[in-house]
Formats: sequence, C-alpha cells, structure tokens
Amino acid sequence: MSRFLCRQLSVVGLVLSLCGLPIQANEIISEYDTHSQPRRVVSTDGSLTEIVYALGLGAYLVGVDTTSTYPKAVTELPQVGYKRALSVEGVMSLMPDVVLTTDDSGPPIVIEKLQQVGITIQNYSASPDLSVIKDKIIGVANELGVPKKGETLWAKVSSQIESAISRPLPDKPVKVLFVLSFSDRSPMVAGSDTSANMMINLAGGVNAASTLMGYKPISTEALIGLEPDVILMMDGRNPTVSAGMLFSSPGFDQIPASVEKRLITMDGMMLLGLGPRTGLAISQLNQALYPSQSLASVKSERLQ
Amino acid sequence: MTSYQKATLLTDGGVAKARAWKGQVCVVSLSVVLFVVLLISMATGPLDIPVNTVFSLLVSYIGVDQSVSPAVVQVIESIRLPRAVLGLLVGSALAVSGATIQGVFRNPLADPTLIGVSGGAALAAVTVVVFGHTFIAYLPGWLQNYALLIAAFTGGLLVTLLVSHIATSALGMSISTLLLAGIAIGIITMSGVGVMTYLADDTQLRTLTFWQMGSLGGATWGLVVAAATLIIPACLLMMRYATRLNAMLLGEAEAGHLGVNVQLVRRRLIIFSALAVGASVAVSGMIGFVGLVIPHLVRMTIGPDHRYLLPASALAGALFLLVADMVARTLLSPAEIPIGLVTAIIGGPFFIGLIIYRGQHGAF
Repeated sequence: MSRFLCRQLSVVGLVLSLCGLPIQANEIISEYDTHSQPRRVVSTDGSLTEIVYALGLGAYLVGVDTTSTYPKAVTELPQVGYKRALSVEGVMSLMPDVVLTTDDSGPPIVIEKLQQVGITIQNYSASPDLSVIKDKIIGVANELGVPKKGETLWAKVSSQIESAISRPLPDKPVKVLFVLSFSDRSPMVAGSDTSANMMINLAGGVNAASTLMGYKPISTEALIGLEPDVILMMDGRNPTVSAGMLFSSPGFDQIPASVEKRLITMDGMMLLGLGPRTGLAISQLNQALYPSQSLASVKSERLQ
Repeated sequence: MTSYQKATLLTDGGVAKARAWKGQVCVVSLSVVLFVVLLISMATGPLDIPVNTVFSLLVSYIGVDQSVSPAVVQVIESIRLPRAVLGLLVGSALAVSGATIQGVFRNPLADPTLIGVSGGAALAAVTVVVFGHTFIAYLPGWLQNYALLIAAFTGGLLVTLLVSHIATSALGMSISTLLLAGIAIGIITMSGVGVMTYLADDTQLRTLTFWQMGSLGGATWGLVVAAATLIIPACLLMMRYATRLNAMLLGEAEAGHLGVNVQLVRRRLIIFSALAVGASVAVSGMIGFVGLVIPHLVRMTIGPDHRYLLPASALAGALFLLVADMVARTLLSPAEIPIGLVTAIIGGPFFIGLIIYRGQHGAF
C-alpha cells in the first residue's frame, strides 16, 4: 500500500513540477487601452504582413502567422500559428492593438473573443480578385495612420500591375498548368476561381485546367488530356522537385511541357498572395511564359 | 442489497476489501490532484498571470475584497475557465464511456469508436464543413453558429442507433454482431469522410483536418453549459450501472442468473456513452487516446470494480485532458497545438512505458 501512495505522490509531484515551470511571479499583464494609433500589430496573412513592411511600418508587427514569409525579417517575429487555428490567449499575449485578418482567418469564435477584449480586428476579403489589393493597402495604411503612404504604395503597385498586363503578347497564348503539390500520387492542380487561375490569365497565359473548380487532384490520364505547355509551381515548398524529376514522372513525361522541360517556379506568396508584389509577379510570370516572343498584338483591358 | 451486489462483494472478502480501500483512496487523491491542477491551469497560459493573482481572485469570490485587475479577471473568467471546464467535461465523458464500453464488450481493447459514435459524428461534422454554406444561411440566426455541433452530435447518435439496431436480432443483441456491425459501419463512415475530403476545397480541407485533430479552443460558457447538460447526466447514469457491469463481467449467463437484465443494461449503456461521446466530439472534435487508455490505467491501478473504476476514470480523464490542454496552449505559444496530437504524443509513450514496467514488475 505504501508503494501505491508513493506513486500517487510522485504523480502529484511530477504534475506540479511540469505545470509550475511557466509560472513566474511577475505581473506583466497590462490593461488594453485604446491608442489613437496602433503601435502593436499582429498580421494573420502573408500579403498583409508584406503591406505593413512596404508601408515602412515593419517595426509595428509583434506577431505573424505561418503564411507570412516575406520579407526575411518576419521569420524573427513570434509565430501565432496557422491562420485558421489561432489561439485567443496566444494572440492576446502579444498585446496587439490591432489584428489584421482575412476571410480565411479563424476560428470565428477566436476572432469574436479578441474583439470582446477590445482588440481591433481589421478584416479583408480573401477572394481571388485584383480589387482586393487596393482594399488591403489603403485599409492597412488608414488603420496604421499613414493614409498618404498607402496612396503612394497603391499608386506604385497599380502602375506595376498596369505595365505588367499591358505588355504585348503573341497570338497564340500558352497553356499553363499550376501544380500546387506534386508527389507520387495525384498532383493537385488549380482550376478556375483560384488566385493561380487569375494570375495565369493576367500574365497572358491560359489555364489548362480551367474546367475544374478550385484546387483538385487529377489523374495521370486527365493530366495528359489537359496538354499544358508550361508547368507552374511554387518554390520553397517543394525544394526537391526539379524539372528533371517532374518531367520523368508518369503523365508529366507525355505532356507538351516536357519537350522543352518548361517548369516555372515562383515564390508562392508573391504569386498567389495578392499583396504588393502582385505586379512584379505578373511581369515575372509573363516574361517566363514568353521569353523571346514575336510580338503580334496587344491584349488590352485585361484588368477588367 | 440485491443478490448480484452481494455476490460481487462476497466472492473473496479480503481481496475485495483491499481493492475497495484502494479505490476510495484513488478517487479521493485524484479529486485533490484535479483541484490543484485546475488552479495551476488557471495560472498557466501565454499571458503571464501569477498563481497568487489567481488566489486573490478566488478569495474575492468568497467575499474578501481583493484588488484584481479587470483584464486578468476577464482572461480567467471568459477564456481560461470555460476552456478548463470544457476539458474536464470532455475528459471525463471520454474516459467513463471508454470504461463502460470496455465493460459492455468485456474487452479491454474496446472503445467508443466501436459503437460508431465517433465515426458518425465525424461524418456529419465534415459534411457540414463542406456543404454547410449551401444551407446554413437558411437556418435561424442562433442556430447558424451551432450547426456543426448539432450535426456532429445527432450524427454520432444516429449511427450508434443504427449499429445497435443491426446487432439486435429476435434473440436480442449479440456482442459479436455488435462488434462486427460497429467495425463495418466505422469503415463506411470513414469512407464517407474520405468522399467529403475529396469534395472539399483548399480552405475547407484545412478546416476539417484541424477539426479532426481536436481542440478546446472554441470554449465559451454557452458551449460548456450545453455540453454539461448532456455529459453530466450521461456519466452519472453510466455510474449507476456499475454493480450490474460488475455482474456482467462474470459472463452473460451468470449476470442473468444474478438478476441482471443483460439486454436492457447493454442497450442503455450504449445509448448513454453515445450521448456523452457524441457531445464531447461535437464540442471538441476528435480527441483520441483518452477513451481507450485512461480506463486501462485506472484498472491497472485499482482493479476492475466498476463502482470505483468509473468515478476514478472520470477524474483521471479530466486530469489528463486538463494537463494535455495546458501543454497545447503553452508549448508553442503564441501558437496552439491541436490537443488530439498532444494526448496521443504524451499518452502513447507513457502507456507503452507502463506496459513494459508492468511486464517486468508484475501487476501493481
């Protein structure tokens, strides 16, 4: 029986010592008071993080989510985790004045509770639409008290987008297939109603998988049937996927893209994030799609 | 005292008495530990709130005037406490149902997934995640936020009823048929989840992946009350059947001779555990390990007497989930780890260690 009691006591001791560790006897909690201008910002979206930096206010950021990867400095900041699985207390412990979110951020109950404790939530659309960029830039700049800087940034970004989409294009556009993930099983590709689809169209390509809706896995046969001229992927995520590997795998070795091994990789956040680098992304993709083109006609009004 | 109660007590006086004493000690010490850990968990989290502040707050409830800042009060009262209480409820529900189902099946490997409740709840919840946007807008406002919870709960209950209906023939419910039906229905619901996963878009996919890993992050007082009204009565009802479960351990025929209506008890216990587990899955997603292993640990410590096994399991399950949630909240703070991962990662190796220890030193 004494062994039994010892065990109980040791369990108590273990639990106590485990849980006692993070407790410190200092009082850091401060009241949330409303600043006239937010100085502490948590961003839960990579594009919003980029905008804060592009406005020159990177020092305001006190926490970012896992989709925030650019610029490099954000990797030093505290991580609030994946944006759909935020923690109330985790975000609160960073004591932000404002949390920047998109429609994807959540769970809703967490956002609700953050609002209840007096944290401002600035929410932006997550739909694949160019107009979202302007909303985000102007909105973030106003919230952080630098509306002028916001207008300057939007002017710069919109002129980049304008010039990127007004580049002359050949008569016959190339068929591009965006591959979100490539493994030994069915590749996941971007259909219509995705930001990848929008970017391909803006860069003067045609989405080979536009008959699909959203991101869908497809079979080897369907892949061959799509006949893409170019494969577009995100870099950083699949560092091991090289053109050699990709175009020797079943299905990919029988598509037109495999003839010249045309694989374009781009930074995922830059390509799909609808942030301040969107204009650069369009022109970079455009140049990669049509490296040495015989310019025939100018596509116009693709912004609408 | 009925005849079967006498029978379970009189089989071996000495052993029974020693075990009963052990059981009482275990229940009392678990309650004390649980209370202490609950206090500690109030003082643990990404925000730094010292233990003495928590004490001041507690003392202020009794009426002694203490100055605690309103921000701290809000964090404890509206974030930490509902979450801890939800953890207690879910932990006890899973552990008591696990112990009960193991008793009903007379098999230590049984757990509530075998009666289809988790699978049914998962299928219903995932369906709401994927197709919810097509009908949620037509529901009344107060219902919209709870659509997923209600769907998960009813889904779990319906599938359990289906399983027990399949297993019941003119001769009554047979345990082996119940087992087969449960496994078959489990496979069907899981393939249903697979179909939904295929139809889901990118963001829905992430939502349902996280849902399946479980979390207590959605805790609000409203949710706690809803869960408590289902879980507490269900657990208490299961505990009322403790002596009958003891009799059933002797065998189906033997229990019958001792005056237990085996068929009725079995059917009721299945329904009660489906209620408890269904409510838990609805509020917290899938949290594995607790239902299977906590009753095991308790049984290894105090023996198979359900009069002590069920309450001790309730306390141990609550304690385990409370500690697991503290780890989930603080380890990667300010981010959060899904609690289902924590329970499996802490629990699995701990259990293996215990099995090895037991193998070397004999049963405790």
